[in-house]
Amino acid sequence: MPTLRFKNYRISEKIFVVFVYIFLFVFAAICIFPFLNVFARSFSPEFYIQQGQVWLWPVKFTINTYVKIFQAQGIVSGFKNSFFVAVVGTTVNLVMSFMIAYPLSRKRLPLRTVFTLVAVFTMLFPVGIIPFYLLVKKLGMINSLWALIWPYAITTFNMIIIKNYFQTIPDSLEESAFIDGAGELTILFRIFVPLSKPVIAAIGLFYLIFNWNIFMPAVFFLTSPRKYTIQVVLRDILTQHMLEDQLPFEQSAMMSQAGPQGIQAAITIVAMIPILAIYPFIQKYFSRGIMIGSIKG
Amino acid sequence: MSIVSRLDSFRKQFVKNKFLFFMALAIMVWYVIFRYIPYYWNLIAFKEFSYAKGFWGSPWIGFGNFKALFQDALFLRVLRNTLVISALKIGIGFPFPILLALFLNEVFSRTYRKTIQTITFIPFFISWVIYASIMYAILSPSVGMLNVLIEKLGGKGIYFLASEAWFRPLLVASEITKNSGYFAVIYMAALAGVDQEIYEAAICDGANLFQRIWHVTLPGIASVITILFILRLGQLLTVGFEQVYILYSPMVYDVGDVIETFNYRQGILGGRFAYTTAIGLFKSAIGFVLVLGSNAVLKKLTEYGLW
Repeated sequence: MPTLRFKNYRISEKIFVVFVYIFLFVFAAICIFPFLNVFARSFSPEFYIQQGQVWLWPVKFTINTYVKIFQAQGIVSGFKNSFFVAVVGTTVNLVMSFMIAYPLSRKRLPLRTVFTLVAVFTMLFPVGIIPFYLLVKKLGMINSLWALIWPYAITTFNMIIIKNYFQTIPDSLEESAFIDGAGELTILFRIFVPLSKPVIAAIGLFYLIFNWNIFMPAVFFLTSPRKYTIQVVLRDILTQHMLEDQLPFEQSAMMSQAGPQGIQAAITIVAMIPILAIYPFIQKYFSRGIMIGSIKG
Repeated sequence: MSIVSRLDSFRKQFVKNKFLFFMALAIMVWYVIFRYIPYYWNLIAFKEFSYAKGFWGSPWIGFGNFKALFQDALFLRVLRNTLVISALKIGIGFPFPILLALFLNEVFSRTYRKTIQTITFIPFFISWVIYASIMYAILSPSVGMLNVLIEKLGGKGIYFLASEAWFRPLLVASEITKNSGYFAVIYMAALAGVDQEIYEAAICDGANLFQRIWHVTLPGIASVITILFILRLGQLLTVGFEQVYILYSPMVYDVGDVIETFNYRQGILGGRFAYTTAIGLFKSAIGFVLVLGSNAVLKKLTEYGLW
């Protein structure tokens, strides 16, 4: 059996492989350096950031900036709202997706084709944003966090993934349960719920990320700063320099104090923490191929 | 089978499985409210709609809004920007992760490959606001790392986000650094399914590295490329609201304002509901036709498709 070894490569192949290694290194560096820079900024006093001295490591390490952001009313409520949407939203997502994926996966469902078409068509022909906005308005959900939850209760693509997973569970399993006298609820909670743990975990992660990151609907539907999620709070900091009014800082005290650049960096890092915390799980489920298999099939 | 016996067997199936049926029906209520009612409200695109008069009170005007659309210089600017940015993103942003996957596939060291993958995979899961915040920090004209570097090297600092020349390249570049790693992982997963014996056979036949990439690796991911390309083409008029909205400013409207941001300002902020609904309907219809069309064409050419 022939094995590939670098020393057996022709000269042109060797040059190419060296180029590949360098290219990947440079690309990964471009991807990660900005993150490291912002991380370093969040732990550095404003003065050194303004002087352009902070690169990939904090200068004169301080946690003042973090202390400061957790004293700001708008930022704390932003996190609270985001947590609410993430936790309640993801629960709603999973229950609703499960409730439609399960029946659609069973051939014995009456009008199965019709139901499937109704759901799948919404993937092909996206709802226009303006009629959607008018609906949310009509339902009285403007400036309510529920506007980020109910209209997005089901992502049809994710639902189809759960459905495809259920379809791998053979009909014979429930048929024999029926013969043993099990009812529909028993079959649902004793067979399908336990068997679907991995797919629920994987899709749950995707919904969780979606809910934490949800931004466009928040911009459209949330009108008062009290309801803002952390993503919208961050937008205000970026575009309106809200913080300069909210957290006035003295030039003289800048050596040790938190300033706008540092505060922006610290909020960015904190808003990223939930994603970073679940990142190992994302990788795990991705490598298990649950998401990918569905894209292929 | 006669109609009567068909109805009868359907009735039996229904009675036996009414639990499943009502479960599905409950969720269909959600689909009707949150997806199909907005579909129906798309019809205000054919009306002279005012919120006060409501849906039924507003008069029909046929294709008036659509005609106005294509005579509106502002809309034509936005359409042009959308097409140019989208073409750049498809032309450069779409092939890049394929290149990345092909390159990763040639790396000998598993640790090196995994490290690169782990680093480049993260940004996809970060929201555009957070990513933009990082870009603001790097690109800031006075204190951004990139401009400090440029000035250290003797150059003159550039206000990237306010520059018409830089705005479109920034959109494309940031999409590449944010999302390529994710798509590369999808391609890598497809490559994991390629039979190693094909590589061995190719080596025995004397195929060099480049021939192996061209004749074994690329065909191995052709089906995934095709599917992702069809889906991407369906998004031709979608540049990505969040990315543009958080990065643009009136200084770059001429090159950076796109359909989605225009719709937001005109419709939700400006209250021109019928006009912007017409734009949205135009956009959805083009996407629908592109997915169906490209699926049909590519299926003929490559035997791969969405269904």
